[in-house]
Amino acid sequence: MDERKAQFLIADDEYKVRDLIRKYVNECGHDAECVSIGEEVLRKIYGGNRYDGVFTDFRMPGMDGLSLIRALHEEQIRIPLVIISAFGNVEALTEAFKKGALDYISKPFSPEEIRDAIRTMLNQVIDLKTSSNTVKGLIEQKAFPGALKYLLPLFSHFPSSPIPHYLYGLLREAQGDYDEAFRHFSASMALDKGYEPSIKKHEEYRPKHLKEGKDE
Amino acid sequence: MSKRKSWYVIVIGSGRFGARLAGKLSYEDHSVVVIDTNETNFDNLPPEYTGFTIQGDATDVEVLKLAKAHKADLFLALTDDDNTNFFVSQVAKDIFHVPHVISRVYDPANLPLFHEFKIETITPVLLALSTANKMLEKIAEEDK
Repeated sequence: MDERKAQFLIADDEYKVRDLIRKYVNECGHDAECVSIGEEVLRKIYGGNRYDGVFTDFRMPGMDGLSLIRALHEEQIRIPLVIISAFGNVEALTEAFKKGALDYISKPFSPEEIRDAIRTMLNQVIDLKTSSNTVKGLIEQKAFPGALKYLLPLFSHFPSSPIPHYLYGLLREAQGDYDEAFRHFSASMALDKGYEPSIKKHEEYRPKHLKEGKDE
Repeated sequence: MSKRKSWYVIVIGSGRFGARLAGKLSYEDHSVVVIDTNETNFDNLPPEYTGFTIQGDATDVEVLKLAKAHKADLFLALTDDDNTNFFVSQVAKDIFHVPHVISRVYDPANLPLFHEFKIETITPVLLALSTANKMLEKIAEEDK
């Protein structure tokens, strides 16, 4: 059982399925919000709501699950997402996985499958957080090769996340390469305009950069 | 947090008994799948039923695979045919290794067969007899 109380979003046009998933999420000690269409998921996420994971049906009226995944991918929003559907079209699933879906559960599903999906989604969040803390710790200790060793895989594991670029910026900053650091803080912001640590760094560097007449 | 673990339950047969029991289990927060060859039988499911339905023949192993029988905690064979109930119960036990299999048995003469294969049973005739006996005993007691 996970100790942290997480928040999940469930999108399915069948209220019975939504309720069932919510029951199992609650059984694991977490909270869940339910919506019936893909557009609502985007509205909630764009509205600033934070979720540890999303369960989405593939076939929904209006924006379906695949369109939702595409939209999140285009907006560079990285959030653990599990597809739950009775229809497993191979091409659609392949595209969904390429664009960030974490897992697929076919209907009907057992409570255990939902519990496993919750664990997978939370581990995904925890992994990035744990790795980030490790990298930051190594940078503080000036153990730069070690930090780089932990950091490089994060780029391939979390290509849409702003965190690897931010961490790389911190590393270059600690090594005294401020131009390279600024470039990576900017790259981090390009991936997520709202990522606070990069915004702060960017604001800190930008005046100096402009003064020196360098391009961003 | 719920205190009791949710089960994954497969119910074969959506007649009056199967549908009501499925509704009860679903209401108690278990994940339930009802399988029936006749889609109109799903109309018997009560409003509180929040589980899944599969139209198909449960004697077809592929249908049981689709229902993820290998993940089931409880398997209930509740059709009105003893042969079907016996066959699907056997498959659930031996192929899908479902830990708890309960079957409805109409003809008490078939009970030894089910028990020989260690399938738990519900026999409506015996249950009715037992209830009738209790009622008769109560009346006899009152008449003394």
